Amino acid sequence: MKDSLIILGFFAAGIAAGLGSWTPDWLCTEKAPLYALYALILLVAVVIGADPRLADIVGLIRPSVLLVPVFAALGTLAGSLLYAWLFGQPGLADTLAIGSGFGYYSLSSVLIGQLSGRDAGVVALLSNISREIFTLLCTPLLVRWFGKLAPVMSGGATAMDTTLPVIAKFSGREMTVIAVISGLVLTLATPVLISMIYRFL
Amino acid sequence: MLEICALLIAGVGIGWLIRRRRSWVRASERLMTGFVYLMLFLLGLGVGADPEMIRNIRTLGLQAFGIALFALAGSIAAGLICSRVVFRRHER
Repeated sequence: MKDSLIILGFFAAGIAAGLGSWTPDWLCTEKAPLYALYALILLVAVVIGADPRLADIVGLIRPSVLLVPVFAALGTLAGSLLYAWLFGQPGLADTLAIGSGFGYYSLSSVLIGQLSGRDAGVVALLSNISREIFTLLCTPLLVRWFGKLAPVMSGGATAMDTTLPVIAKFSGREMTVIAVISGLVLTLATPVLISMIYRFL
Repeated sequence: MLEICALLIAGVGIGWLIRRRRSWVRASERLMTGFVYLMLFLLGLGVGADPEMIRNIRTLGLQAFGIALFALAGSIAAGLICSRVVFRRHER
């Protein structure tokens, strides 16, 4: 929760600085250069590769466990597709890409802001941060109403780190391995799916 | 898209190789966090400097909330199907 507030704080500080025009104009209009984005994606992957849990986790991956992130992704995309079909705004590609953030608000907003536009980047940030906060707050209810797997689904990519403690607490210890695997797969899928969506849609 | 896959694979490989050098790992974590803060500050800056976007901020917020709601509902529904298909044996 604290991390999401810090992130929102930086975003809000940026808005304030932009409103007050305290910063040079070129900084406001220029998009971040593509290689900066590539550097970020590389860093994200380095941090995952260096995760001390990785060796244990990879050994526990079974085909049936991999179905969990596949279902989470398909459900998310189906929901986003329905939203795009019902409301039309902000367009099919943007809506699907925003959904494909799977709660990973930092990477998805930066990536979508770069590949599509600033508006879509902002929607991606707010939408995916809501998903994380919803999971943090509603996991006890989700488990009671929809079973132990529900918070792993709603947590999406965050199930491997930020929402893991709350999932472990309410879904039980036996769900943590599934949560980490699902979160890991969805974290890696986020940049791939988003770039695929903008490539083909 | 291919370059992003390549970056991910290369990054995980590099991370795996340096995983025992904790100071390097900590440095990459800090660098990543700093990068994210900077990029989001810049995203906010672009929003603040664009009067059109400030006018639309309510609409953007509502869209964000709506997409999150539909994505959550979809994934939770998929979870119900998934636990029937995958974890049926455990449930009994």
